Amino acid sequence: MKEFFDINRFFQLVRKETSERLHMMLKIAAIFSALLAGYWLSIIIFSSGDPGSVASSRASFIFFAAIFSMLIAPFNLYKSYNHRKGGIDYVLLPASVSEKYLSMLINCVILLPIITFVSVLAVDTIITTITPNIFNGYALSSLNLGDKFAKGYAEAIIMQLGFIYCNLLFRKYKVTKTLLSTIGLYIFFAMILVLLITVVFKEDFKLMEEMNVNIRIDKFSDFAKLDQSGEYSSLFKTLYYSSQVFFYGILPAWFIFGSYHRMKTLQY
Amino acid sequence: MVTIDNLSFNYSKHVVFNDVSMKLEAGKIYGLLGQNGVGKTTLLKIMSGLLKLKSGSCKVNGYEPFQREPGFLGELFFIPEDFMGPDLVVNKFAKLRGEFYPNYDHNKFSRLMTEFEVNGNSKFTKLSFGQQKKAIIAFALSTNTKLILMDEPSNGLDIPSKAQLRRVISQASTDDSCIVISTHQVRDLENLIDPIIILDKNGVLLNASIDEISQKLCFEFSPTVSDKSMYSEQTLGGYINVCKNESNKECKVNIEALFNSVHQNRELIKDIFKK
Repeated sequence: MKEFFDINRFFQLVRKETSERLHMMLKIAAIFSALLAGYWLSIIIFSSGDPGSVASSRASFIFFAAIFSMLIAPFNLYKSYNHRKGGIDYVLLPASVSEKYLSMLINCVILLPIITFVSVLAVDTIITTITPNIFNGYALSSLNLGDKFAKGYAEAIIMQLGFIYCNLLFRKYKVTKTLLSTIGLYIFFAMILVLLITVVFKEDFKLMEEMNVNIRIDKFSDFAKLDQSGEYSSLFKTLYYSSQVFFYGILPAWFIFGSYHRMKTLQY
Repeated sequence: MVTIDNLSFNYSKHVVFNDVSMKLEAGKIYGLLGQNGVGKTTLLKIMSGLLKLKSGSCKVNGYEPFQREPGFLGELFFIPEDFMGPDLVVNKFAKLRGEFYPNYDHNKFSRLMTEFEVNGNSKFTKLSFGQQKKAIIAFALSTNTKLILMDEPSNGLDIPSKAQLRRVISQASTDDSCIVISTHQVRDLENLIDPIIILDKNGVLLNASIDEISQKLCFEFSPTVSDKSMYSEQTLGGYINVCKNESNKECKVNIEALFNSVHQNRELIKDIFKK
C-alpha cells in the first residue's frame, strides 16, 4: 500500500511541488492582476466622464481569470513532465504515480486558481478603494459563489482533467494539439447530437414544434430543462441521463485513469 | 544488485539488445564502455526504469525497474549525460529532493559542493553546464543510494574537476552500493572503474574485473609491433601491444587499448574470458 500511496510522502511532495512552482504561479496571477490594472489605466486615459466599471463585470473577470489560469496550469506548471530529458528528474523522484498525480491536481485545480483569484481580487479592492469613481463598488460584494459558480467550476475541472491528460499525452506542440483535440471532440459530439435530433428523435422534436416550446441551450447543464417536461419519450430521457453519466462520470474517469496510465507507462 | 537475464530491447525496427545477460554486484564501480549507438544509455535507462524492456528480465534490488515504485526509486539515482537543472537555487533543490531519499546526507552534499567549488546558493540556470553537472553529481552521491547510474559524468568538466570527480566517486563507493559509469572518456576514469563492461551491437563483449583482465591480457610498450600481439597501437616513441598474458605476470591495463583490441578480436576475447 505504501508503494501506492503514503500520506507523509504525499505532503512532502505537495510541499516540494508548491515551493518549486510558486514563482510561476505568482507570475500567472500577476499577469491577470496586471490585466485588471491595465483596464483601470485605460479607463483613466481613454474615458472622460464615463460612469466607470461596474463591480459585477469585474467579478466576472475575476472568475474568468481563476478558471482560465486553472485551464492553462498543466501547460505551465508541468510542461516538462513527459519531456524525454526534462522529465527524468521528476519521474525518478521517489514518490508513487498516484501521489504525483494528486499533487499535480492540487497545484493545478486548487492552488493556482486560488492564488489568481485572491491576487486579482486584492488588486480590484485596492483600486476600488483608491478610485471609487472609476471602479464602482467592490467586486468582492458582487461575487456569487453559489450553485451556478459551483457547477461552472465542476465543469471547468472536468475540462482541466482533460487538459492534464493532453499535457501528458502530447510531447510537442501541447497547447495546439490540445486545442485541436478539444475542437475535434466538440465537432464529434455536435455531429452525434445533430444525428440524434434529425434522425433518432425526429418524432420527439416534431412534438416539441407542435407544443411551441422554446428551450435555450447555452451549456451542457441546460439539457436538464428538457427533462422538466413529461412529454418526451423515455428514449429521449435515457439519452439525457446517458449524456450526464458520460460527461460527469465516464469522461472524467477516462481522463483520470488515462493520465495515471500515461504517467505509469511513459518512457523516456 | 542488478540481474539482467536474456534482455531484448529495440527502438521500433532498430534492435539494440538481443538476449543480453549480466550481473552487477554491490561494492563495485562498473565502467560501461562501447561505441556510439551500442546502447549504453539505453541500458542505464532500462536499469533506472525509464525504458521498458521488450523481453527478458531486469531486476534491481529485487524490484522491476519499470514499475518505478518509490522503494526502488529511493535507492537509485540516475545522472543523465546532459543534465539541465531547474530554475531553482541548488541548495533548495537538494533540500527539497533530499527528503525523498531515506539515506540523504545534506552535510555530505555541502562538503562535496565545497570540494567541487560550486556555489550552492546560485540557481542552476546561473551555473555553467560543468558546474550544473558537478552539483547534480554531488547531490547524487549525497543520497547514498544503493545504485548510482552515471551517463558520461566527465563530459563538460574541466581538468581539475575530472580529478575531483575521480576522488569523490572513489570515496563515495561503499560495500553495499554499486556505481555504473557509462563513458567514452576512459582516460578520465582510469584507475577508478573496475570491473569493465564492453558492449557492442551483439551484446556484452566483456564483463571482467581489472585483475582478471591483467591476468589474461598483457599490455606492453615496445618500439616495434610484437608478433604475438592481437592488437597494436602506435603511440609516441613506439607501440602498445596487447597480447595474451602467458607469463601470468600482472600488468597495468590500458583501457583504451583494451577497448580497441576487444573490438578487433571479438571471438578471441570471448574465448579468452570464457569462464
